[in-house]
Amino acid sequence: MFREIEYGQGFSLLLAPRQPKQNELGFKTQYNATSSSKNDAVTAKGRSREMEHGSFTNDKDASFTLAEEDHTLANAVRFMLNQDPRVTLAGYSIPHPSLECVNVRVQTTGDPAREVLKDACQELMLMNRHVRSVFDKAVSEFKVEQARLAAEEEEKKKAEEEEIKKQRDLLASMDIESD
Amino acid sequence: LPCREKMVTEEDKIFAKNFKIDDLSDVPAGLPPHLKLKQNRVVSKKDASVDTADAIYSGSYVSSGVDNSVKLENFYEDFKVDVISCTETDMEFDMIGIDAAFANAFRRILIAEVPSMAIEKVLIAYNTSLIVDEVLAHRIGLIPIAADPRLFEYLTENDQPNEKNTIVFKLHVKCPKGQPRLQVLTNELQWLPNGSEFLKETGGSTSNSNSNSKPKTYTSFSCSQDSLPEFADNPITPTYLDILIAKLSPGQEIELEAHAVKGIGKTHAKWSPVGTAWYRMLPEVVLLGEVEDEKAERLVKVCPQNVFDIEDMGNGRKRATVAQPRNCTLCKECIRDHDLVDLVDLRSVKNHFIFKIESTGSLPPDVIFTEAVKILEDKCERVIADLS
Repeated sequence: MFREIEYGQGFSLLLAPRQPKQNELGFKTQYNATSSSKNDAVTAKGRSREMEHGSFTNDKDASFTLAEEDHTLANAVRFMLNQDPRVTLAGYSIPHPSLECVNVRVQTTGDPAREVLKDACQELMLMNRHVRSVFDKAVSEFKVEQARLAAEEEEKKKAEEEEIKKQRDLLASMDIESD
Repeated sequence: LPCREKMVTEEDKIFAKNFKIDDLSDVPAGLPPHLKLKQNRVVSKKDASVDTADAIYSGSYVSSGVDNSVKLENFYEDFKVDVISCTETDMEFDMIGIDAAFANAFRRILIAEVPSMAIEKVLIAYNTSLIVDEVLAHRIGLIPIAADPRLFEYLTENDQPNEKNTIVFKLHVKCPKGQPRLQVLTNELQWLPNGSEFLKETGGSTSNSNSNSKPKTYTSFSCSQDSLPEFADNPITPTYLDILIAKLSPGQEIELEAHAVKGIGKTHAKWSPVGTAWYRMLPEVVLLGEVEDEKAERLVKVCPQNVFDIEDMGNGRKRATVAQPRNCTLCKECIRDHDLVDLVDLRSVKNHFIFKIESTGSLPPDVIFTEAVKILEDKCERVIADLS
């Protein structure tokens, strides 16, 4: 019933979790079969980009290994997972800083962990889109405001210069008269 | 036990069924204020900061009946961006209603994963200066180039360098004899829109009569970059034209070609599009009690950022107020004295971030931030695609 996942060269020794002995834990931890879609998701180095370590029977608790990720995405995903009321435990760890991969642990109240993780990523994407739109609007409004202020300054300066010119002309004309 | 004679009427039953304790007028709703403080402020005490962990898991306060999750609809309503200043190179803006996980993700992506152009290969034909080849190449690699990286593609191992993924610069400087020492600045780097000019050595006489074709250079530009609409009128130059590359004594000469490609800061810091990008939480300074007269004077004098100010209360008495909390750097000078430590509370608002982005010139800072958010979206999409 155990089935090894093909991790790629030199990867499995470092990353594969220790196989628990049967007596130690009282139940078998079984690895999910790799589906073809996962084999397509391959990193530049030929390793699979995502792996799920869970159980065949109960899919509400699972650990996911995301390759080529670090704190940037993992912390954000962990935050989104914590917002979901279906989640009882969500966390991430980085097994070794030299290896570019992240382990994300999701335990839910019954929904499959994979779906919950997908929903969290989906919400994360929507939040990012919203951030982008709000930011763009704020920047363009700021720039419009700047342009308006700059135009006002220009007008003020011009008005002042004209005033000075008028006064100079006045003085000049007065001088001519006195002569 | 004496049995109770009272009969339970129908009205009583209905009343009991519909009774909700929260509806009573004097039952407080939401979190008590001290828990609210814990939830959204980091308090900097004299020894260390307190309540820094975000207890943001949706069930944190479930027993108080408060839903702690950040729902998407609430996020849409609460999220705000205030731009304080935005120039060609620097930008300061506030993001309100977002969590530290996001702010940090954006900061990390701004520094390490937004691509830019930087010189990668330096072909040195002649170098008699005092600066060794590799040191010179290293210095040239760090020069920021004012080219929009979105117009270029990545150069992978299998690609030929062509006009879509390479920018070629030439540097040919000689310090003539009899002249004083010459400084080689970045304005000497000339852009070659037609590609490399150094000829590649072919295998020898085994080349057959295809020798009427163009001699091979180190890049294969099919058209001049000058002809592309983006570069037609504005040539590609380094961002700053007064960076010192090397110094030459009379008689020394440098002749080299530099090829710039697209990359990300993770590979090498020369590809980082920002000088740096950082954020801090909005500081909140609260006076817990009246700070009067002599203490007020001391408080105002002690703060290096002029956060406090004196206000006259009448009768010649003075009081300290918080004038500019935003300037506070949380240096905690104001709580060093034992009599002031109980009167001043230094807090940071957990979901209000003041971002500063300093760009090196390849892209304006607001564009860099938009690209960073796009990159985070792409990461999420990739994970979703891999999971399904």
